[in-house]
Amino acid sequence: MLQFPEPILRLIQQFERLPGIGPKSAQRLAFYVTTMADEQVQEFAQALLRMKQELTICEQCCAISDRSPCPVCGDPLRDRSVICVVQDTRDMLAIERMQAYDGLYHVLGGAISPMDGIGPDQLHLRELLQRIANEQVTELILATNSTVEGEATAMYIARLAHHFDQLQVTRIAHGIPVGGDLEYADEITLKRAMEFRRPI
Amino acid sequence: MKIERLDLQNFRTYSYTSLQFGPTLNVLLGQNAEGKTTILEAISMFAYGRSTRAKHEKELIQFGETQSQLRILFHRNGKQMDMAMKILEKGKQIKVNGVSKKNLSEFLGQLHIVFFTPDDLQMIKLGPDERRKFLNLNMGQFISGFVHHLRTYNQLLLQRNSLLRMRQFDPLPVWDEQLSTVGGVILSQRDQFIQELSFHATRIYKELSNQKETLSISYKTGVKGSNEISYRENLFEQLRQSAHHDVEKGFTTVGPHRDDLLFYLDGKPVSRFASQGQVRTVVLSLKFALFEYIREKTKELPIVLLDDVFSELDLSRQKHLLENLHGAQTILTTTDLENRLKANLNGKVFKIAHGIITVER
Repeated sequence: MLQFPEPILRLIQQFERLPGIGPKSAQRLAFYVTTMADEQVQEFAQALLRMKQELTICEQCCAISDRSPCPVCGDPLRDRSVICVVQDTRDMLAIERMQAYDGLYHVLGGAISPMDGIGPDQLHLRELLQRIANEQVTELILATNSTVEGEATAMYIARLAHHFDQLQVTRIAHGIPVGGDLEYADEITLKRAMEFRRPI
Repeated sequence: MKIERLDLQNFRTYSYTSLQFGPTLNVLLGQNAEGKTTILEAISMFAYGRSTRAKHEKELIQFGETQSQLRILFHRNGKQMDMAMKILEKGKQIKVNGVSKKNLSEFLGQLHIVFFTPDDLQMIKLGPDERRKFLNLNMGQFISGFVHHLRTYNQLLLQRNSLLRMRQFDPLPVWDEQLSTVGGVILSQRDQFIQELSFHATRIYKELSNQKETLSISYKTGVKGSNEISYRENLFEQLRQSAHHDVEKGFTTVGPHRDDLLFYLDGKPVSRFASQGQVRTVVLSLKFALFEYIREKTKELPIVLLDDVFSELDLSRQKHLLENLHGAQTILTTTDLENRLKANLNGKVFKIAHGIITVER
């Protein structure tokens, strides 16, 4: 039986390691690479390598960035008294896109999940506590995901943060998406939105 | 509530089959292992959201195929409903009236069933798992959000147990807080459900047994409380107190995952003192109580599925059964027609052999 040539097999295996790529997709991608021009393949390989080489972790907020401090932490116009805590750098970029938040961030690098062996020590929590202790922080906004792990992480941080006087700890709101029709919201979301309603 | 039609494709032994049900009684007639129960299983998937027989849903896909499809057409409160389910090797897709639904919570609550199976008898004798399964499946049918809460609870429990095995006490409270919030909801809903079920079951047992004994069903939980708030607060406190004990055991020893349902006849536990006949009457009463509960809550008659249990009943119980269904659509499986004749059944008969279904009458 004819097997895949060894070089293709090697590439297929590499593609399969990526999230969301199964054996079939990996084969399709690998065979597509055989049709690409040499320069294109060079560029692709370089892009992979350079991304890894040129990226760093911001020494202040722990976000993945091309410099440290990252553009947000290095921006003198930012409000340094507010820190928004997120699970990963993509969450930070999502909040940045809204262009209405001018405080700082802190990227945890995940959420507490004992099943996956991720405890408080595996997250960038020590860095966060140091920042609160050393800088003039007045508010901590907990913007972890609304999953059981995200909630547990938020609660854990809230408990730690209560040791600091003068620090207000808030949790982002959960409920009906803006522009969403009530009738299409699922019951769990609706229930939550009702529970956390507020006077206007 | 009436099922009009059920289509199966690549489901267990069926490559393709379509059944058009009659409005009252439907008899699925055939030898053992010909695929009678599979039809009932397919219907139950739309009420429970999952199979009660398969360990992994992959088993439901016909051998050699990659996916299985089910579709059911029924009337509910005079409205035509169309539900479809596609079972894939990884997960399933669901549609209600042509609209895809992301989670099971939006899918459940449409079709209501009362499912009588021969395994029900074991429910009394075996461990609490089976009784919790009865509660979970049936409460999931109409208590909105119940399945979601149960899932969240189980996930939280896995996380807490991982912490216990690592002997870490420090982060426990953040999990206990969420566990008790969700657990409080589950506990209070179960408490309420069992109270209402018990009320019906006691009355029905009296009728079935000719006033001989009194059946009582009670909720056994290690958590003290009477409503969502008190259950939540007590569960949180009890989780806190049991932390050291739990670390020693390596799992969480308190909470709704340890609940049980207890049956008593004149104050004596059914599991230990009742005869086989009494156990059967207790189970029948429980299922009839569920029928009454659904009828009361939804103002409609649920679909009744009888898997091979009809033949086990004596004539008077058969009669009682049919009379007390108030004309609800019933689908029953049986291996011989003798039993049909005994109770003078009139209805549509489907003959099932080698996965092929023919309508007899």
